[in-house]
Amino acid sequence: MDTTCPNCGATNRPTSRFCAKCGQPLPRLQQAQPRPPAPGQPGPEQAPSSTPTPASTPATATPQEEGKAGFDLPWLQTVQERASRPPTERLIEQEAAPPIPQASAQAAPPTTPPTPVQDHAMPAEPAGVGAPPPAPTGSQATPLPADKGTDTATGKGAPDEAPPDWVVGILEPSAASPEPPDQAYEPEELAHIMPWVHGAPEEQAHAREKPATVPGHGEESVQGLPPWLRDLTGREGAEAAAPESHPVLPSTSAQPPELNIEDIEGIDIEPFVPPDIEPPAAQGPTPARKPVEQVPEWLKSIAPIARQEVAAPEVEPTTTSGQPAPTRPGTALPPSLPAQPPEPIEEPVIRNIPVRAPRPGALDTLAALLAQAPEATRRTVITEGLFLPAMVAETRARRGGLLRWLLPDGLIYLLVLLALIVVLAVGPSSGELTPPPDQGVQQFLDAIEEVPANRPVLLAYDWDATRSAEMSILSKAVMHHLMSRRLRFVTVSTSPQGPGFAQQIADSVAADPRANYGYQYGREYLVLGYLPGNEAALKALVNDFSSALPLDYERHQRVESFPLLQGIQMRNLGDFALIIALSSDETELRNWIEQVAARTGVPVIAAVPQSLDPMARTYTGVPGAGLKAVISGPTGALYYTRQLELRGRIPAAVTADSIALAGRLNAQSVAQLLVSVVIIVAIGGLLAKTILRR
Amino acid sequence: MNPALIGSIVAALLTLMVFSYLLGANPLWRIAQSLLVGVSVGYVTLVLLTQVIAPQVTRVVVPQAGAPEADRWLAAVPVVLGLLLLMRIAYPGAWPASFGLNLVVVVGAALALGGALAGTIVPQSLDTARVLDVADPYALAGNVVLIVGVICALTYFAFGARPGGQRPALVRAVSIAGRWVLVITFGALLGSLATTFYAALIDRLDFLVRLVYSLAGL
Repeated sequence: MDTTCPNCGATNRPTSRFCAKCGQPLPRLQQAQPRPPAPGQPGPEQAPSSTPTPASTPATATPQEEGKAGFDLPWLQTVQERASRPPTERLIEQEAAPPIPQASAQAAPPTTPPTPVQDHAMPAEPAGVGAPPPAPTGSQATPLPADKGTDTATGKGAPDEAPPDWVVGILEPSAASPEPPDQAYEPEELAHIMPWVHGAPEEQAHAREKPATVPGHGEESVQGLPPWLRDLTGREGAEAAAPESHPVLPSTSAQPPELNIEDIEGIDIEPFVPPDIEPPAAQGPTPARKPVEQVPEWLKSIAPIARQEVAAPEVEPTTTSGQPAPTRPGTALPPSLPAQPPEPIEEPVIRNIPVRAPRPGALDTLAALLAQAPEATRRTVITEGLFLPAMVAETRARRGGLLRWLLPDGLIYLLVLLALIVVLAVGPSSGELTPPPDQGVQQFLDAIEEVPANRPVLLAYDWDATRSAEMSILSKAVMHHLMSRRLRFVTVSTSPQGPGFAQQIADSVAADPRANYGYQYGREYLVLGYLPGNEAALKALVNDFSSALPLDYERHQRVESFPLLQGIQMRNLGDFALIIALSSDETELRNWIEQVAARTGVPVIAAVPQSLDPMARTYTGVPGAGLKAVISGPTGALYYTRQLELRGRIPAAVTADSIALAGRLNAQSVAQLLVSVVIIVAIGGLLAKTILRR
Repeated sequence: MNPALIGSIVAALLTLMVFSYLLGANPLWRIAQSLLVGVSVGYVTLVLLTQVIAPQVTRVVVPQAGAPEADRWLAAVPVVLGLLLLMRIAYPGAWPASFGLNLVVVVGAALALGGALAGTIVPQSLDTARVLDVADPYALAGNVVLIVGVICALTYFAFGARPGGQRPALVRAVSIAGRWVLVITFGALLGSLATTFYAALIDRLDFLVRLVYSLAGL
């Protein structure tokens, strides 16, 4: 039989104790009082203060035991009836069921003082069906009324007896009693950590009697705040308060309250030191913590909030006295105000992030950073608009004066520059510079010597201006060798700057009056243009050479029109006898190896700068695919030139180039020696400083 | 005046402007830097226009006499893809605008993968698996160092661990050795790179000295 609410006239289920619409206690169940304890059973006042557990307290029988003891309990019959229904029906019923307050509050004896709502801002977690009863801890332990009112001997209880808390969680999942906040620390520890919250007992009792109101509207709004934050929060709350009498939510601004460093320093806050946490094993089995419930009230009030439209609550929570209670701190409706219609309200965004204790000194560091950030940001904005960051750093370093520039970087620069200029200008005689014998140079030279005279050679000019110091020397040496052998060659480039260097060097060597090779463009050599496309371009070059590069670079004529191709075939890369890769970049050299050498079988040799030598040498001597020979750097170029001189491939007049090259190598040796000394001195200084510090 | 001499003087001035960066950032260095970037971009753009774009468009618009008609249509394909790429200016998300770019990336990736397998991974792996020749002690030592270095370096990148979070002691020891192999390798690479830059510096200084000598008549 349904129950009609005397306040609003809404129809409620017979098992409901509170109206689903207005939340007023229904007449039948609101008068339910706990029966006096059975003989031999301790009353509420005599209940053990320690945490009662089902194992230690014989009165708290498990659900199975209760079910076995008697089936005539009304609430137990309701459970059985609920369990026999289909799950979908139960789900619908649960959604329609109004939440009811904590059952223990109903069944609490009159001597128990009214317990204030612990945490209305926190979402109540519905207890699942079959969930174990919440284990009361500490002072929040509440005797189970069902245990007191049940005759354990017969298993029969009073018909109007209220079910225990854990049964309420089954019957009314949406109205499951809020679990007591799981404390991370013992009360004594909390009193040490936050004395403003866990202060004197009389202060706490006084605070309980005061209902929470709107932040900033009264002194009560700063309950739970530390003393140094009460002024700040109160000031902000007053600014954010609406002129109307409607309650507002705490801190509607998205900005967190600004912490004034002067105020904080004036109060002389001590850095927070967390207490030592004992290992869990020593404390015994503890229920799973809900870290979100450890957030103190004053911290929730400054948490970032987001706009979220929330429907009006079905039932407003009530206190134990039956009066409507605020749903969250600071949102209490005065009794004179009528119930407000549902309207969009702002809900604080509460994430289930474990709240950890701050590290010692973290607050001071944060305050210092907040104080310094605006100045640094302003300076960065001003300077970055005018200069590059590197220039800014250099400018700041230069402000220190000439001495700061000199020590130590500038002094090293000047020393190296001076030594190099002296060596290059004076040219001190250091004797005959003999380059070390290099097997790769010999193989490189032999590979060119083995090319048949009637087959062309392909040169890949894949270097740019950044490596011209080394690559121009190597390229000239290779050109001299090819022209001395009267070999025809074609140049291609996968680097945009390559064709320009190819044309410049080939023309200069061909027109060298000292050698007088008699080479003519288009007849003995050809400079083709830039070939974009990396791997795809080389693949196309392998298949069809003339289609990939139909025009030459110098005259923009079709390749077929030059006399170079009159007597030879040059359809694809297989028609070339040798490929010489003059590469300064690892990617380009690797492309030639992987896309050409591995597909065509044409031997590939490479001349690379010294920086690419370690990578290129790993491909030499590899069977199947790889490089047949590699020369690198000025040292390789000098040795290669000397070998050409020995074989008579280069006229005597051209040997002057090798002399100039030897002078450069002398300067390079001096520079490397100087830098090595500097590095050794620096390492020695660091080691000495480390040893002295220890 | 000799144009080559004028060019040499300009080159020397630009070299000195670049060297002025050793004293700190200054307008001369910025001018030289801007000139380098601008000239490089201009040169590359001219090369692309004259060597890549113009010949391809010419094959479509003015085909060579006697060339087959199919050659004209084939030449039109990259031109159309290039024009579609210009749609990214107005419609960045349209699929026709990205079609040519996707084609280049996909084909390039496939070719790079095949080339890496055939030209690097398989040959290098086969070359690493060498038969130790006891007759030649130098070659034997080299091969042992090669094999041990490869194993140590690969072990360094083995991040597997036991449930307790600890790797076996042997793996840890080999991993430490592999780290030193990598350190020595990177040191050699850095030294080679430094040599390259020394060569570039000496080349510029030698150019300046020779120019001064030529201007002084020495």
